[in-house]
Amino acid sequence: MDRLLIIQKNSCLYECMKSAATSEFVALRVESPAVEFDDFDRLVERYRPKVLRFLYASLRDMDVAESIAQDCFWNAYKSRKSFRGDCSVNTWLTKIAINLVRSHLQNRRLQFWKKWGNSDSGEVCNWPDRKISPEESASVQQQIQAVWGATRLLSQKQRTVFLLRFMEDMDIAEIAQSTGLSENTVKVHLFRAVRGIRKHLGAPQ
Amino acid sequence: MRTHLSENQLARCLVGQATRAELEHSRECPECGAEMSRFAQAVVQYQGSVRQQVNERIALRPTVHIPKPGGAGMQTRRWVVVAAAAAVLVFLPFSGAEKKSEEFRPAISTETDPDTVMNRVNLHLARTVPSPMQPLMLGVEDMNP
Repeated sequence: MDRLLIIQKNSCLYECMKSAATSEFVALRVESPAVEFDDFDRLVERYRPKVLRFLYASLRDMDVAESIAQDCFWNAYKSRKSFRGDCSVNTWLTKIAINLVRSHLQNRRLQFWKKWGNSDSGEVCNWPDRKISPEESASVQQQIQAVWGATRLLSQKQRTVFLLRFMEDMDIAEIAQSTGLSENTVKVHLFRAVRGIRKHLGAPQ
Repeated sequence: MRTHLSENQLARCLVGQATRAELEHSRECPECGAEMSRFAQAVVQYQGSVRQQVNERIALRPTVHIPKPGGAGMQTRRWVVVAAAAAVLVFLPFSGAEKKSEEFRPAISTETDPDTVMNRVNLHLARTVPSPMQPLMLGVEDMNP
């Protein structure tokens, strides 16, 4: 016989049940958005890394990304009552972040003189594991730089779709909801983005 | 499938839109498999780099200030300051004029002793010219004794 079990998300029991869920348990109730909005600080704490990651990868400027992340959460706070719960909070925040990135890039296009000052600082990463050799580390750095460079050459939609798929591991349906595009359009943008990045990465050395 | 995967076929495999034949080929052909893993490796490293930098930034600034209700209040306060400044600018000229007119107003006597008041009235009536012209008349009298 099927049984319905209602558990608050993120509780200890939820974690236990998630790992031990069997066919007996039909559904694990996900915490409703209204509950999430009650403790907005917790919501910020939870989604800030995701939002910041997407913004940083889109804009390649951590300070600007942080400032836009603040705007994103502020906008979310202001319009929390209009959130109908059609999509997850994550998708909704991503949608807000995408719109903010779009308007930021439009504004930046108008402020063309600023491009001279700060565009490509090349400070990107100290990611490679310190256990690997300097040669390997240099090669990894080069690859990372190449992907950074390649993402910059993509159109804004292609970059957004690529980042949501490969950075945030979102599926096509979620990306379609976040971007407001159809699933087929998302697939086309993703395909073009991957092809563009592969082209930029070039032949193996 | 005997030939290697084309650029488009590889891209389709990487985004999960490949046909069964293309997928089988990518598993069996070491060269095509290497091409795919090269892309995957680059993306994973890129992902790791971004995640690391974001995590470092979050470690540096663990909390973020979202100016919740204060934002609107701040704006209202700003408007109040602007309105006050405008009001001051509008009323400043009028208050200056009032001050000037007060300066030119003659002093009113506050004496209450009846004899003193009577003397002052008599003196005023005995004048042949208005009081501002009195000094001039003194000069004229000096010239014609």
